[in-house]
Amino acid sequence: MLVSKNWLNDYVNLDGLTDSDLDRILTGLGLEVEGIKTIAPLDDLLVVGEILKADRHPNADTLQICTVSIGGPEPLQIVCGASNARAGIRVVVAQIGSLLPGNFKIKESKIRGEKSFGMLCSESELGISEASEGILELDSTYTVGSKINSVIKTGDSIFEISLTPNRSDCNGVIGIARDLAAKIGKPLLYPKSEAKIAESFLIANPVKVELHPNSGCERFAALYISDIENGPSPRWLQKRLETAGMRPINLIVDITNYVMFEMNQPIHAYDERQVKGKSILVRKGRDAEKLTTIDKKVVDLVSSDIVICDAEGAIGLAGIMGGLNSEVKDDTKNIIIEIASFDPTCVRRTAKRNAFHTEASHRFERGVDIENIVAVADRITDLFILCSKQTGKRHPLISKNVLDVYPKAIKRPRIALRLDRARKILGLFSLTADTCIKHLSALEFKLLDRKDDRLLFEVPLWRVDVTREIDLIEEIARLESFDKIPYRMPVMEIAPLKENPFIRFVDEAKITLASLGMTEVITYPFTSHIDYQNLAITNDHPFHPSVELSNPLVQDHSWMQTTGLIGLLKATERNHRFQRKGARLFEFGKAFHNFSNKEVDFEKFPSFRGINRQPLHFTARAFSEASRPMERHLATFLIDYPFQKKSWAKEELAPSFFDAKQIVDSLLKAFAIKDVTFTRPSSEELPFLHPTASAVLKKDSAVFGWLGELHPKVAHKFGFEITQVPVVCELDLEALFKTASEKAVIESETFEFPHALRDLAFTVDTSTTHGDIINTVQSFKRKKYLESIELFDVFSGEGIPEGKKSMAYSLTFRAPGKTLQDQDVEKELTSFMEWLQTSIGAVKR
Amino acid sequence: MTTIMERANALLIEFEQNATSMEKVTPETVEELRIHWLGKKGIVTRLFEDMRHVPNEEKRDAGKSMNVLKTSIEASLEVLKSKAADSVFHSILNRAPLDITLPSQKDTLKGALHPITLMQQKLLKEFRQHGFTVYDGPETDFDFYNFTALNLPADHPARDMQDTFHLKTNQDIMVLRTQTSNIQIHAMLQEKPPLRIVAPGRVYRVDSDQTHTPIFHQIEGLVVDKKISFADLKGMIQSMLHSIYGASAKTRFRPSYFPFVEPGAEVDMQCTHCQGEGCKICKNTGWLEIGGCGMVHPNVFEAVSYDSEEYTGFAFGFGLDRMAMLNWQLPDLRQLFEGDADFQSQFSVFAEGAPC
Repeated sequence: MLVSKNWLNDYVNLDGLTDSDLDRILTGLGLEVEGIKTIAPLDDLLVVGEILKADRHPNADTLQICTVSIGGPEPLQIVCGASNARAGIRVVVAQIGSLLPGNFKIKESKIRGEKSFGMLCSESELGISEASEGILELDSTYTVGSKINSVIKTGDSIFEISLTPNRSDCNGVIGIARDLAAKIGKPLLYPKSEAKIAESFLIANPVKVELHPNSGCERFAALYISDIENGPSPRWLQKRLETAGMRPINLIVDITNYVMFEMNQPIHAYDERQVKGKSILVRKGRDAEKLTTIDKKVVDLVSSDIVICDAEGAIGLAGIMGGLNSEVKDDTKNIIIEIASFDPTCVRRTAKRNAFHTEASHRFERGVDIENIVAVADRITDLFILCSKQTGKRHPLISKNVLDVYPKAIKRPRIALRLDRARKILGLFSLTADTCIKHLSALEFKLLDRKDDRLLFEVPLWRVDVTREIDLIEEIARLESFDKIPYRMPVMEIAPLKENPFIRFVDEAKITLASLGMTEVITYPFTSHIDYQNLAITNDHPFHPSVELSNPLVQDHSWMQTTGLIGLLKATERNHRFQRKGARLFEFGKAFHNFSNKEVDFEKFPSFRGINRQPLHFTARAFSEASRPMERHLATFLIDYPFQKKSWAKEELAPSFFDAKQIVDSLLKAFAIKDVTFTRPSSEELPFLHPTASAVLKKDSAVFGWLGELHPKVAHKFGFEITQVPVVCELDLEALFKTASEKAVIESETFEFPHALRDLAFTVDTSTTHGDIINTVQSFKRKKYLESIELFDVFSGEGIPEGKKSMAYSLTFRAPGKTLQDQDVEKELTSFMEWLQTSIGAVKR
Repeated sequence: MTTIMERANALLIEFEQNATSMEKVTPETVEELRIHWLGKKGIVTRLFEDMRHVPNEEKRDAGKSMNVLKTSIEASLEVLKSKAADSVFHSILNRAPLDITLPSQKDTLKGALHPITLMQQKLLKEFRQHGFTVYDGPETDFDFYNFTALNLPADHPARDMQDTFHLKTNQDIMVLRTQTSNIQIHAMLQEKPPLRIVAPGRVYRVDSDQTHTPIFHQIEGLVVDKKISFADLKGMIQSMLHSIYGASAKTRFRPSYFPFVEPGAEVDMQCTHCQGEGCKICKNTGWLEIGGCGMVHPNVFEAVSYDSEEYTGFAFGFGLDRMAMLNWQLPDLRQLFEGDADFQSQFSVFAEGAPC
């Protein structure tokens, strides 16, 4: 909402308040000032002058040499090109040295051989309006020689107010003025009504109005004005509209707009010639009915639209825009003016459906003052008469009465205010009943009754936002100022609720990954089907997206992600484009699934059975939650190529499966999650990973996630060089959390005694895996001291029989509470080697 | 036949000759010498074995000279050992000097958290210290939680304040939450009053320019009890901002409108960069907008069946992204969501002070 300080000043005396005062006061009232545009007053060297004489320029047909008095002893000679320059008129004289808008300085000059000592100004030269036909003619009562600034107010400040949707009343300048007046303790000055209209200008109102029941129109007033000389409106009115950001059109339209801005009541004028039968019917739209609006848009009407009709059909889309067929034209003489109140919801729905957002619909959606309608009609009448006088036009003929159809009068709400409640809510115990009454009365809330500290108020209908006691309390706080409310700390004796430990787990997991050298990023969780195609994820895969947006920002963002991989791959691809390689990125996000929308054959994807579940941390109880999408907490990370950058000391290394595995192991260790197995997925399950360099992480039946080298074809699709493929991993945080919820046990006793280390090398079949060896440790029945084994070498070839490989492990033996003796260790080592031989046919080397 | 005594004396001379004629005195050669003389099968050890043949009356003197021999050799060996160590120290210290200006390895192992995470951790730590419980809620939600129950009925013009992403659904209207305030409703439907919760999270709006992104992050707070007032709200928020920005941080509360609170306010903090003088960061206003807050609207209490006469409460919502941008003076919100490796790696693993 743009509002001019000069305009506000019409209704509340703002003398002595600077722009920054007003800024502070308005913002303090909740009418946030977002910006102030100052229009500088004109230069003081611009004065009122009188043309004493206007002679033809001897050397130019279109120029005149004017002798102009500006009150001094000697008149000035000024060469002027305007055809309306003539003796006897008062004009604006820019003296030598004065500065005009646009930084245009007036200098003494010679025009076609004749000296000129200044300039006679047009409106455009003064920056008043765009009209530049001739010089500006001033009122003949202005004193010659006086400064222009003293006779017409040339400076102004336009406040841009960011109105919150509750303050519909402040869509009118008077509404803002009312708040200001209440705050600064000055009276609100309503526009003065013109003197009574002479009988000779009064005519009968020929208009008929009918409102269909349930038409959505709560009140309709029709004013009839005829014999109008349409044309440009007076300059002051045009200027006002311009301050509000509106373009002047013609007298009729400008007056309706002016009153709308002033009183927050949209008004529509119909050309009487086009209103068949001079009759107006307000009803709901009909099937297959069409209306072309003033902006030439064809609207297909539906039964929730409110339509203004004449005897033959639709002539306006109520509350939004008039019809093209009844539009006021430059030659319009007789008009029917609609001042009405329409159902906000109907207007809003119609406007939304047809993508209209007009000054009228904006106001009707938020609410107008239904009581104000007759006052608005009077104001319109006054302005038509005033403008006709000011522009020297014919006095229009005004209908004697306003035809006011108001089937069911709406009563002002009555709301009781309890002083102790206000004090309690605000924490402002010094608040008195008198203060409450003072503030609310200033806003024209009427005190009806007062019993002890219970005050009963009647609320004016322009305050559609005030419906409960709490709203009265807010008004008091607003006018009293929030600054007067003290700072206090809440006294809360209750014990805090138990926090879901998952929340801390997530934070700790983040810190753990970051401390492992990973960098956290956040990417958009919006994806497209193409992304999944690029990941080779088929329609029946559980990762195929199932939560779709109906209004995505761009088409590529239509589906909510089911994996954090897409975001990380895109971010990494972008990094590559910017020559930033080798990053280790991670993101904590969510996967969105809706398995009630989507049939997934989990037999085909057994590893992902567990993702079809209720969200872990959230159980809503409000109502049926069956169709709620499932949100799965994910930790996804990516180790980009190269893992090790080439340097003076080291060779470049590509990231490997095991680099990702190391991160996973460290994370698992941080949460004391043991005995996690890495198993090979079926080819359908993880189609986006290298088929033999990928794994699913499991513990018992729980699946924690997956990791592996990106499939080279997928890498290629995402724009990577296929020799520079990242390694990726995704973990299901809730599954991890379920296992991690047992606290890690910190052993301290065993660390007081040294452990014993032994190396053991043996050959096994090539097909034997490290996992098989780990299993033999677990099944080693005579295990007493063997704590852990660690692989440090695998090789085959020279010296190793065909079909065999050598594996070398470092074994740690530890006994709680004692130092191990050599013979104990040797005995267990021999026995373990025997066990390896028996169980997997290992041969000691 | 030479006596033990004579042999001992002769051996001592021989040892001294051995020791002085050593070509290299290194820990290894000294150890070799020790083994040769004092080892299990060494010369001195063998000599001791001969002691059993010595007649008893001579044993005393023989033992004496044996001990002299052994201690002398031990002492000499100690000297040699320390000499050997010196030569090792010397060789270590006199290695070819390093070019200490050579760069370290290019792969630094420093990780980083996202600035939004850092901001969130900082705030959660403070709120937990004030007895708040951290709560979580869904990002896809029914219209009811995000709007209707928050006093934003269908067709309310205030819905225009938030451009909402809608989900394609068969029946109930579902949205991507536009505000973390949906957690207020979830929490109140699950817990009985009194309560004191704080809930950080991601929110979504259909918006994209330099200062708007379709995702951003908020932290929501809700306190409900029998005597909660606007003064408590002011105190709590100020105390919070003081713990983050220091006790000189001035706050300002000005009326604003959020349908689920009444009175509703916008919280401004005096610009931390210019101390209210006006600068680029605060767009010359001297104030920075931190978030919205207010007293829980009775309509909201009624929507979750809390007694709106008995209980009062306050709620607030801060923009985490905005606070992060202010904290690190970041000009473009979009930068936070590009996953730029160089930009992101500048941040720390810990929020200022220890993480919660």
